[in-house]
Amino acid sequence: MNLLRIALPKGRLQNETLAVFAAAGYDIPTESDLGTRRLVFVRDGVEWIFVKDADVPVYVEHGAADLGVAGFDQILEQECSAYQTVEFSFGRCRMMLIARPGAVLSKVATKYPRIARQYLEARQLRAEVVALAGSVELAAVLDLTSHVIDLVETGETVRVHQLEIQDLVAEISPRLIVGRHAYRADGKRIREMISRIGDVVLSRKDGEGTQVAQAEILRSAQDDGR
Amino acid sequence: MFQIGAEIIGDDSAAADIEILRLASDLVREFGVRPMVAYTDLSVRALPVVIAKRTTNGVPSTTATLDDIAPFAPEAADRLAEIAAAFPQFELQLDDFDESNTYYTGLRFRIYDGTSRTKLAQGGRYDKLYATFGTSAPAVGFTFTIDDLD
Repeated sequence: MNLLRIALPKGRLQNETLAVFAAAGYDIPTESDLGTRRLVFVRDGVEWIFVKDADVPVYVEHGAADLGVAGFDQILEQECSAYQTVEFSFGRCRMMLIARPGAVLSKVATKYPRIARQYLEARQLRAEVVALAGSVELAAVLDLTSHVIDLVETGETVRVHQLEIQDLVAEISPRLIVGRHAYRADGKRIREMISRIGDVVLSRKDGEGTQVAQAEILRSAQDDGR
Repeated sequence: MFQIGAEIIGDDSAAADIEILRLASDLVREFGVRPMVAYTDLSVRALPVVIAKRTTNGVPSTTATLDDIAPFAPEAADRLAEIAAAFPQFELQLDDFDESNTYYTGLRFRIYDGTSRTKLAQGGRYDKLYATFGTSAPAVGFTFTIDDLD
């Protein structure tokens, strides 16, 4: 029987993602597994691979992984067409337009050039987009650009650098994404995973109004007495 | 891009549906590939019991089962039950209703490589298609896209 392959993000989302899968009853890679340099683990018919968060949507889009957990920021930036089946309640943040107070819009630095261009077009604004790999707020602080578009969690970085938030670009949360072909080719197993993960997320609602597609629908179907 | 395929014309029975499914999946096995087959009947996709369960964020999904559709579409339900009995390892996916081809009238299926998830073949029943060319005849068939078999 072939393996279901799931791509998980290394970094800030990794531990909480694994915790959800563990709570859903999956045999996840252990602490000592993850302490090795290995990137691929096989447990119980599931192949777990750990990749950079920006690469999860790429793996799923190309069918190299059947499912993945990726932030909405990366899903949008990579123009990933996979189904977004469950939205997680952890790791939420906002993508914002940030600038020095009073700065006039001329250039925008960002790790998300595609999203930035779409945002500017939607607002009918003209600005040059400068792609950076990290520490994006610095670009506004040092006047490399007038503005930046970046993720904001606590807002501490913005405050510390005396910048101001000017607009909301997008609400960001991690999603369980499923490749369109995989969804059909291995329907039963994948739907089962979506259902189990969805149930865990529902039972953990942080009061943030989690919008979970599959789990909600299944739950209401059960309530209908089916 | 080349296509090969087969059709059974003039026979609208479940037996013809089953024969075509068997031929298509056997062909896939001849190439040393394990087929994963997803199928549905497009004539039931507009039923409220099926539509009502589509999810809100674009993920096609339904909890409708054959028992749910039987009261509304008994013939389609019977036919699907026959196919399920003939091919227990294939997957009935009633939520496969995003169909852009308008000529399929009944059975609709896709065959994937079980390992690589590549779509290898697809087909179904198109009982009204021949009438548009001047001769009315029921038909069921499939095509493989040759490049995908490499």
